[in-house]
Amino acid sequence: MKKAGLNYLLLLMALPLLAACSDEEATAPAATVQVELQNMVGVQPLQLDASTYTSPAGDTYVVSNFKYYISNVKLISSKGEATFLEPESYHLIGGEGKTTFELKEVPAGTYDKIELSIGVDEAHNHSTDQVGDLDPSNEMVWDWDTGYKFLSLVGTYTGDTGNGGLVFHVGGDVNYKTLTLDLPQALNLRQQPNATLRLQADVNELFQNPNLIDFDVMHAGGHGAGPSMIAENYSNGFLKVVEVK
Amino acid sequence: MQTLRNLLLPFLLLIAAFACSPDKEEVEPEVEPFEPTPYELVLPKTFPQNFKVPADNPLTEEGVLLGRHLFYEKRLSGDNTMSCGSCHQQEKAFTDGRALAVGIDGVAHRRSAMSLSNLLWFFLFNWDGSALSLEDQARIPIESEIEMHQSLAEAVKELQATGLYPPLFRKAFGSDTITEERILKAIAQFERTLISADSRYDRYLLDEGTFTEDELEGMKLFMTHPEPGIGLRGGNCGDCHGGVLLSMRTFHNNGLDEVLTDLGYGAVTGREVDKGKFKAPSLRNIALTAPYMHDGRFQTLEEVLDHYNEHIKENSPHLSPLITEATNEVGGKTLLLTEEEKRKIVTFLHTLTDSTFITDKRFSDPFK
Repeated sequence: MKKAGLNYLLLLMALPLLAACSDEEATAPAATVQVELQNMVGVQPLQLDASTYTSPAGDTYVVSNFKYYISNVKLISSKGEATFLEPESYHLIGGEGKTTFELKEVPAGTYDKIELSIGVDEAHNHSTDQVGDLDPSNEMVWDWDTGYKFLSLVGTYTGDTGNGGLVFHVGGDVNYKTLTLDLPQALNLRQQPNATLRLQADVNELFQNPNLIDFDVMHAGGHGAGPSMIAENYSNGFLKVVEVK
Repeated sequence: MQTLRNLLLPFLLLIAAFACSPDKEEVEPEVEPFEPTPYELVLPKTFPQNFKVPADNPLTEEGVLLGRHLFYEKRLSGDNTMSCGSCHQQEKAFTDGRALAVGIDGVAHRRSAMSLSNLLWFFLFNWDGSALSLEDQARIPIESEIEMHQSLAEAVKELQATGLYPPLFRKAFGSDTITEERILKAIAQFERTLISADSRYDRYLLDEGTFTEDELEGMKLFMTHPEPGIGLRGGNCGDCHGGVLLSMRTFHNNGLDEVLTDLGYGAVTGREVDKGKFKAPSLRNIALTAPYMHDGRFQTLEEVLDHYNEHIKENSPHLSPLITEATNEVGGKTLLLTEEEKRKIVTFLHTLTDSTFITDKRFSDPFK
């Protein structure tokens, strides 16, 4: 008991000294913006292994694993008032990965667009730098020349003429896509310093717009034209911001 | 009490001195003499730097040394004849060379002893992912009736009565008291230091060594999922055994049986889709760890390649799509690698042998 008492005393004496420092370092309050991602199929939340979905081409399918990289996230004010680029911005979404991340120390301003990329930029795709969620031991590693898988979807399908496994591994520098998404309402960080941007990703959009993917014709691929068709699709309608709250 | 007060003054001065330091170093108000030395892990830059060690079991020199003793301690078995090291032998990359592990009562386990390396980066242990941490895992073989067959409570009593262990526990955990939890923590600490990162493959990745043409082609085949439509050939190994750990840390049914006798991961999760799945283990030191598969059914790497190339049981429930959707010929039903390609992949697998790891004194039996 004696010893605990002394320790407590030490803490009490040290506290004012620490507090004094933080006062000196005080700066303008920076806002934190939470980004939430929800994976959907149409209007239904995606459930791994549990639900059967219908693709835009009319095939049925089950997803057992689905993940993708979101990187280089920016908040943009169309008035040119402010732009925020998240440092070390690599987020692995889905699977056992995360569904939310935080943009920290965002300068006060009014933002009306978010820019982000699907995949890993060329500079980081071929390096051993381990920033953000880039990790040479995760399931998204391909090999050291090709870099990371940007998006991985594994499951099974039943088509009109056959059935089997679905394996889409999309990567390669040409398939790194940057998207600019409008916020449904402008985000004023001075009025709303702890906002959340709610985004949805629609798996069915991987299989249409502009390229309709028929699983009877293509149900697997990692290199070449097939994955690039999916990459074109994921840069067009796959992600949208549904709410600012 | 006098000593304590004498210690107090320098501490107060320290706090004043550090309170405003720019890195805001926390000052330990602890006045305990127990100060174990942090264990420094040395990793090449190609290795993931984001490993997690449980907050309540940091790696310390003293904890790891104790763990090494316990790993090789035969008193942890019911009749004092076996230690962890009996089935996990360093020269075989911590396996035992048997198809099925055999415990103190001479009874065979239904599965093979797993190779131990780079466990620091894994989070589900055993072939079926049944243990969530190394601390939890360590209890299983000690108490299993067909493995070491010793109650941990009994082991605590036996170790407490020795001259060797109480001082080792004091250095590692601050007191002579041996507990079940401390035994498991120390073993887990030792296991986290078993890092294999000096194979020829590692040196190749670090530009410190070269590959022969066969090894290079074998590596490319190993890592590539084949796409016959564009003429891309692949052995399809990397989908599950890729990355620098040579394991994606995932569980799959790799088509060994049409009728499942061991449910593996499915017995742990209770999910229908997981039945017949087993961990895709790391292939580090794979040339040293025969026989292969969870039940040791294949004697050689060539037999393993033959399985994936020609003998996949297509009707096995929940066979991995990563396997069903892999062929080297348009419209092919099986992998369809050539004999030459299989040979090159095996050549690459031999570059994963890490002779530094299997001779490292820090991992060896301290009783020898």
